[in-house]
Amino acid sequence: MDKTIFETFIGLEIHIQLITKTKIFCNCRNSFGDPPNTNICPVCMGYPGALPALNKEAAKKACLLCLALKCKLNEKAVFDRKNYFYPDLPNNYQITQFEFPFGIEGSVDTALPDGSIKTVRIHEAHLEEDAGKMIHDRIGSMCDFNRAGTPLLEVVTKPDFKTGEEVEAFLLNFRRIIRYLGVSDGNMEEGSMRCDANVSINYIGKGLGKRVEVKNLNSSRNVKLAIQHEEQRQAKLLKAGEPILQETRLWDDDKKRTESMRSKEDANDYRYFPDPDLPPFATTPEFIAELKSMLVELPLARRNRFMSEYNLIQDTAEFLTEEKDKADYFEEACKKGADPQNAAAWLKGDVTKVLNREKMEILSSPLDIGRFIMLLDFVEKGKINGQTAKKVLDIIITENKNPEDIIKENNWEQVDDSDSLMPVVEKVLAESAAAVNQIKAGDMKPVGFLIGQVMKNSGGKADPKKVKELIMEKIK
Amino acid sequence: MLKKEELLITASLARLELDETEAEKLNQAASQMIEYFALMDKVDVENLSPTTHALVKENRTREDIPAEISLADKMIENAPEKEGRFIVVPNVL
Repeated sequence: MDKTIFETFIGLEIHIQLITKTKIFCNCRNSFGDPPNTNICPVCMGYPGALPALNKEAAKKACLLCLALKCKLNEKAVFDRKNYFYPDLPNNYQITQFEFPFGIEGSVDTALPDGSIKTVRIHEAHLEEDAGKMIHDRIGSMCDFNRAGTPLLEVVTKPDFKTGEEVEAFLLNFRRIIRYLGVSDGNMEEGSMRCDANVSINYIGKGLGKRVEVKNLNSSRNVKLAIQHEEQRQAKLLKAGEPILQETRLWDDDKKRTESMRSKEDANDYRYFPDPDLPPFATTPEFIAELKSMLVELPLARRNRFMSEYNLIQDTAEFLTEEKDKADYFEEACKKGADPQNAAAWLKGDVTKVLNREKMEILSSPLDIGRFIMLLDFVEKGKINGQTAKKVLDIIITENKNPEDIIKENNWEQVDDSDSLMPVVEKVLAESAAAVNQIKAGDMKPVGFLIGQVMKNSGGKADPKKVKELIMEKIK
Repeated sequence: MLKKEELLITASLARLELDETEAEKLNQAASQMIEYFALMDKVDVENLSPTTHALVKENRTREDIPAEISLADKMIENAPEKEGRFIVVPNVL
């Protein structure tokens, strides 16, 4: 799309499944993967006379995210019935918030790939119930209501995005935020975070164009691709003077394009009205104070602090603050005496490599902070060299052992006394006459090779610095 | 008098199929009801905030604790048509 002629406006509707033990209005379990219709009761099945009651935890988590998104909390939030005819919710209506949602008028800062900060305004955030799942076949539609009535928070942004890249960066950051707060696991592939994008383009300066809603986006990358595809498609229509239909389109991941959903004949008329079964929820000062005590430093702020406080480069700070657990681990290690640069390098490099290979998370892995610090300390003090430390790290994680025991068992303690190293050095030098002559002639290139040979002959235990000293001493 | 289109839209939202005579009859009745409710338009509500609930007891919430007993199996038995543990409804696609 020619960005000198057209501009793009993108707004998002993000649904996230909240982490709670029970559903939003009844005490059925909120759990994924149970046999069909295991977690159902008269309330979520819409039996006559059954009364819904709001799950306090769902309200808390919803409002906590609202605060993190800098939303104003409505003093009195009201639940409404959104009427629609579809069997994925047995009541024939969805309980949601319409006129008085929990949060309004917020904003989120996101770091873009070019390093700039993008501020996106949040229109509103409301709490609602999720619908059940259905499988359609020829004889009928099979309903599983385990998910019906589970708490879902919908966050609606203003149309502040200009490109698919901005949206992708925003979604990654948003996912980090909800995981930091512990309100949702934000897994787009599994549907615990779902995103619809409203995309419109227009000639520059003409304001918003016709809005096209794109659904079925199950990764932040697909959201980006779908937006880019829509820009091309809509620009082509505008150039040809053809109308853009205000419609809902589905992303086809195989064909990498959007396709029109069967458009509904009449515009939706959901006939919202306040649910008489549910009293309004007042966000009292006590409630807000409780939420504020639950707020944590958000990923972007933490990244920036890591850069200034620990003098880390952006890339490293970004890596460490991806997940709250990892950032907490790093800070805890520093507090207990680890050198920040050193700890960061290990965490970003070998620790992550081994954890990924073993499919483990750092906090639940055998590499507790005490062992990690001890390992760094051994290298620092010259008890083991860097290469040995990598082997020790691997064994700590795969065999759940203490670093000192591993070193003792394998007799890996670094050798740096001249008496035991000198014979090895002499042997290597005697076998490498060509290299020795080269060095004598002033070419220092083979030094590395000689050190390597000595290391190999000492079973990897030699202190490379000491070895170099001895070699130079001997050749001179 | 309620406009005929309005009545038909309402009927379709309620999944009601009406023939000419039924529509005519219902339109009369519905119009009468609406006129009756229209009496409320006369009340001055200028400075009042909307009342959503008559008995206001705010923040009636529930602790996040799962139920120990389950009626799930009995409720599945209640369904007129089932397939394993699924509840089957007429195909909606």
